[in-house]
Amino acid sequence: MHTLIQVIIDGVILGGFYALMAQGLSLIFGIMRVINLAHGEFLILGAYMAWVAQEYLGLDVLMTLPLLIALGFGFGWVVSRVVIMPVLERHELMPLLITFGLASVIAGLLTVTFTTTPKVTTAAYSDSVISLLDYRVSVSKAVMLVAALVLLTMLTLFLNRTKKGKAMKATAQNREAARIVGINVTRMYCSAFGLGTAVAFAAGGLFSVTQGFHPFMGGLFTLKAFVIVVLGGGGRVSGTLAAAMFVGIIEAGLSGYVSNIGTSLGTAAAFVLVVVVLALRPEGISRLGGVRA
Amino acid sequence: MSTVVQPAEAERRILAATARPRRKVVKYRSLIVLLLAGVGMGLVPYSGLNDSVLLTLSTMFMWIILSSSWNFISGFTGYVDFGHGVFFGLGGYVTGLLVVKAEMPFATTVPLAAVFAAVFALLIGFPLLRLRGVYFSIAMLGSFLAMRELVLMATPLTEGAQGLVLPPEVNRLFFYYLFLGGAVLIVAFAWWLRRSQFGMSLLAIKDDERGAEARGINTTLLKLTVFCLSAAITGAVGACWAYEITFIDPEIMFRDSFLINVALMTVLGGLGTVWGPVVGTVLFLMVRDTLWAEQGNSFLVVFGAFLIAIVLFMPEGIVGTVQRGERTVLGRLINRVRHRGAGAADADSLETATAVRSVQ
Repeated sequence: MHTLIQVIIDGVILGGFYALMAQGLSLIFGIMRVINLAHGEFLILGAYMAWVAQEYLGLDVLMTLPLLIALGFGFGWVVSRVVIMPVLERHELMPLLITFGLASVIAGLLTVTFTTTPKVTTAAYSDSVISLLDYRVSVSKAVMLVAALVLLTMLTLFLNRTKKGKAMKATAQNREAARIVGINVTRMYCSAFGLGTAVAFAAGGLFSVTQGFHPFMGGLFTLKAFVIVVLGGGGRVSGTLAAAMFVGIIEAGLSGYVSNIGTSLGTAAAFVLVVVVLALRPEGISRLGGVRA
Repeated sequence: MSTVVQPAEAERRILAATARPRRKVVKYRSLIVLLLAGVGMGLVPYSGLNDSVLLTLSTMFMWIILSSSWNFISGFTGYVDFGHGVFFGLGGYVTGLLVVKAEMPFATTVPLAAVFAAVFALLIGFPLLRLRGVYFSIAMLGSFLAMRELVLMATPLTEGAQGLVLPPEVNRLFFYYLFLGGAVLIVAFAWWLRRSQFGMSLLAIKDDERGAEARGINTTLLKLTVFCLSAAITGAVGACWAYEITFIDPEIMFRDSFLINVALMTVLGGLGTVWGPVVGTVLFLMVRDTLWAEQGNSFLVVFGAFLIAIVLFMPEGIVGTVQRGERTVLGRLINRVRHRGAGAADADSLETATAVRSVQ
């Protein structure tokens, strides 16, 4: 019983992080209809940036977070403007190939710069642990969960309440109509990609405190984010959140109950989930398409 | 409707009118070139070259087979397989296990590896190939990553990260001719595929899957068939390669660079073309081996950027641009040069055809 509750606590924390990560991918897919295969690499890039900010500038991760979001937005904007937009109208495999190349470039650059030795960002609260009735949660993970939920709420409010967010949703629903009412569609696409990247950077920054990371983790994150988007039905944030919690709890359960190989088993489980979900729901997420907020 | 000539029809007529009559030699030109190249390459070992040249060439033939088989599912059908390495690794492990644990002779394990890869492709292809391309792509990437973890975990069987040592078989010539024969066969098959109804249906799926379905093409069946075929070929190559290098572990058999290699080779040469994977592979390996002696991580950066550049500026690849490159600046230039000798009228009607196509 004790293990079970501990597993659920760990799973929920992991799920909060996954939800933030997946929301970035979901946003880009929902608005641009592009699956960003470099999403996990973006996340790792954010993690390294947080690490650099801490190591060389002495900034705490929570202080770096706004900076990460701004940088991520700018980076995503430029990337989409330069390499995604030119191929958006072509066959759908072209954006896939582009983002696949991008993932490779980022992973390679990170390895060349930082080597493959795992890094962890240190924070003032790195070693503290919250203990309650002999359940233990490290403060860094609790911070990650809270920050992820706050960012998700902000994102939802942005998409539903602001003019720019509504314009973005309108573009996702009907591009031609959006253009007719005077929305700059190209700019919306670039903003959506920038926003998705900003979310990935922020998720990476939060993650970097909780666990060691290395340049080749990106692919797994992309995969998990995709699983969650599919599982969550690609609809609202609540669907993504529920799916992320589900995947998080399964993963925490596997590593909690199965010794040694639990983490690897989690990876395999994520893949099996994709196949099962896609087999049961062949329409995938495209049927719901469009808006996510 | 019948009195108005449709643009597509007009274009067809124009092209039919201006095309030079196809002689048999022209029709079989590709096959003749292939045969000559095959025989020429078959004579290379007798010209007194050293072992390392033979190794380089046989590696090249192996990659030609791999990129061609990737081209069947990704180039022809348009379903980009970002986890094709899973079949390579599986093939290698099936042979490795059968040779080491069951002490079977190498020759019997290769068909078994191919069958195993095909069955695995059937199992994951059935749920995945009914979907649109993006889901398939990312799910294959997932299956690649997951399979590596599984092989690493199944220690009692695969020895995990420790790897398997196969009986050494250092017969360079054997593998040289094996891969050469395979490469010739697969290019011949691609040539047949490009002009068969099967291949045309695959190209139709790539261009307009719903349209193809409406026309009565059983798209799921065709996609599954070509996917299993491609997987079987890759599995067999993985089996041979595992036997050649005599030592396998998950990091070797399921390496990340495999995925970007096949993608880059095929895209560079031209997706969905017969000679594209060949041209792309030769060029890629030449560039890689001369500029990057070691496959470090700068390799990932440079070739990732290279892939992006090709998709942006030469999406049809080298062969595609030369053959039907009206859609790119470079291709139009090539077309103009090629048709200069054919006379002004010819060039004019070609321009018309191009204009008609661009209007569409």
